[in-house]
Amino acid sequence: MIEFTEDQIQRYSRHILLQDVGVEGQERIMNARVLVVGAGGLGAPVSLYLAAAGIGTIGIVDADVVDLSNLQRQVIHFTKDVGVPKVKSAEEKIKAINPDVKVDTYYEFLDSSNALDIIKEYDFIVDGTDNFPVKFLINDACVMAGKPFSHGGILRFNGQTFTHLPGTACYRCMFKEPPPAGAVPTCSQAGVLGAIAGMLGTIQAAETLKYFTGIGELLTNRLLTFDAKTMQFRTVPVRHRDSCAICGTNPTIDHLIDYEQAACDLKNH
Amino acid sequence: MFVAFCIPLIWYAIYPSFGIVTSLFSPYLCTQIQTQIDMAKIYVNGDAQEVNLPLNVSELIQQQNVQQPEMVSVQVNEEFAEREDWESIQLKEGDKVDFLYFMGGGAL
Repeated sequence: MIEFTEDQIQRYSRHILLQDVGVEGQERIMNARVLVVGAGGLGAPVSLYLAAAGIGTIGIVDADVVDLSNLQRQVIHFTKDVGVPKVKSAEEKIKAINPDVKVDTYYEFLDSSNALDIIKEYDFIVDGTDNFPVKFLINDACVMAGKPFSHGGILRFNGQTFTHLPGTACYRCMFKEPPPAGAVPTCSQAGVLGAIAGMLGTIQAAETLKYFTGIGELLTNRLLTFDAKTMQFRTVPVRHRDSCAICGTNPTIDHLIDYEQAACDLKNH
Repeated sequence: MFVAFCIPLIWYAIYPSFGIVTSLFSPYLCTQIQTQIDMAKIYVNGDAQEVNLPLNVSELIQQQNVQQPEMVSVQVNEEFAEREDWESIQLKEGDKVDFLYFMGGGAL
């Protein structure tokens, strides 16, 4: 049982006021450990909102440094941070928003050699990455480790997200394997409207907070997609696929795979 | 009698290429029914659309101008349709077809 200080009661009063959250829910949030993979377009709003909400520990994985072209949407990084490792820049902002939050930084790429070790330390994982090899890696590692995660992807004016809990549809149920390198453009090639990252990232942050407080229904077995041009949101029911190579009845994948990444993405790292 | 007249109709649905031959022998009434039944309302990504039958998933993908069809994941009535089955899945009235696209952006 956490003893709330006067400041904490004041800081989290708008959460505590919510019948569905209350003191208990806020306590669960403060005991939570969340890993955010990618401190970019999605990781920025996710980390900011989770920090403000008082998540106990936030782990951030990113091997990149802040680039001027990031600032159009990666709102956790400021102009002065150009050239600084994203994990450092993000840690500084999180601490400035909420000194109660413990931040673990991983200034490295997530790959098959470190994914399971890092993921096992956390209760919930948020995928805020920009490429398919890592999206599949996060999916496979979370399924193997029995960890829940939020998937997120954005492109141009569109976004998609779903939440996975053990036993519900995973990314591989929907998309069997990564597209060939370069076949599907990423944001760095195709562009993205900056605010889309905020729209999708805040949905992921809300799902994370819902997971810890047990509020409502998570985006499990549903893929939420939106098109900001028309502002139409849609949730497509998706089912766990029995023949899924990672979470099906007879899984064929028994180790993590480092898929090849498109060459044009690599040069931006 | 009615059943006998409509056999060509079923043939037409299954073997469109024989349709011309069989329809020569079809009575006018059955041709009428045929044209009515040949239209179906299906739901593509949630939007109702009138389509001509027969129509399989591969043909629908072509009609919808899906960019990079090799990159799309397809669900028919909330069940994933394996790529190798796209040609053999015949759509019918009321079917719900969803195209799921890869979206990879986020961090960069």
